[in-house]
Amino acid sequence: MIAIGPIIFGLILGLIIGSQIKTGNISDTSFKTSSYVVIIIAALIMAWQLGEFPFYDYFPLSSAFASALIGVLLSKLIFARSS
Amino acid sequence: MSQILKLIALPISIILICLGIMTILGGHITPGGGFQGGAMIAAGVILSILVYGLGNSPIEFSHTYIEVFESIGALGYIVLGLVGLFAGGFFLYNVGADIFNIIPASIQTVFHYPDTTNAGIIPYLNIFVGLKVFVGLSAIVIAFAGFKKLVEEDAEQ
Repeated sequence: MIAIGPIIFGLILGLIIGSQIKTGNISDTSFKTSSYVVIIIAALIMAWQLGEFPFYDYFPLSSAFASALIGVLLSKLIFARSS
Repeated sequence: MSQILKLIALPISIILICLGIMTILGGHITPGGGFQGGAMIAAGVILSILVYGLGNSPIEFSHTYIEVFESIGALGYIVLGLVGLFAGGFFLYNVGADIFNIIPASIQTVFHYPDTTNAGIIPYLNIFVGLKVFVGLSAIVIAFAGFKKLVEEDAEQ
């Protein structure tokens, strides 16, 4: 069984923080789509290694961590796309 | 700062932020909680500001953003406390997800964390404390970085 609470609140907190990520500010390093693919792969491995979290969640992936990552990246795409 | 640091700081910041959110959301059953998770999120923001510098950092908060979320955090905590006061008789009384038995069972299963200890409002308090702490600590560092920039500009003149 997957608890829906941590997924919803992870998404909300991720959306709040991700809206402020503006990679256009960085002067001499560029972050392209491939950079985000690497971030997603690294974060998914990390979520897998963190295991079931919260512990009453019988899913072999930290759902709170994964939903926070989805929230941050989604919010970056929606709110801070041009910058 | 070197190119390697600039390349790695943003991914590490994003992962730190996710880890902080996870710590906030598991605060009622695991070590950690609102303050610790908020501090971890702020650590991600601070890393980004230290490496890229104020003004060039990809994660930077405006005055309005800081003001709004600091207020939401404080007000949310007080409102949850007052709900306990009016429903249970004590400030911050743990009324649980089912206030006055009026919330439908389907919604309760979403917002009522199904652990054996029956956390009630503790996860929600953690979320509000986390919001307040991450914005507060980030604001302190942004202010200090701004002051440093001002001092350096004065020294140059």
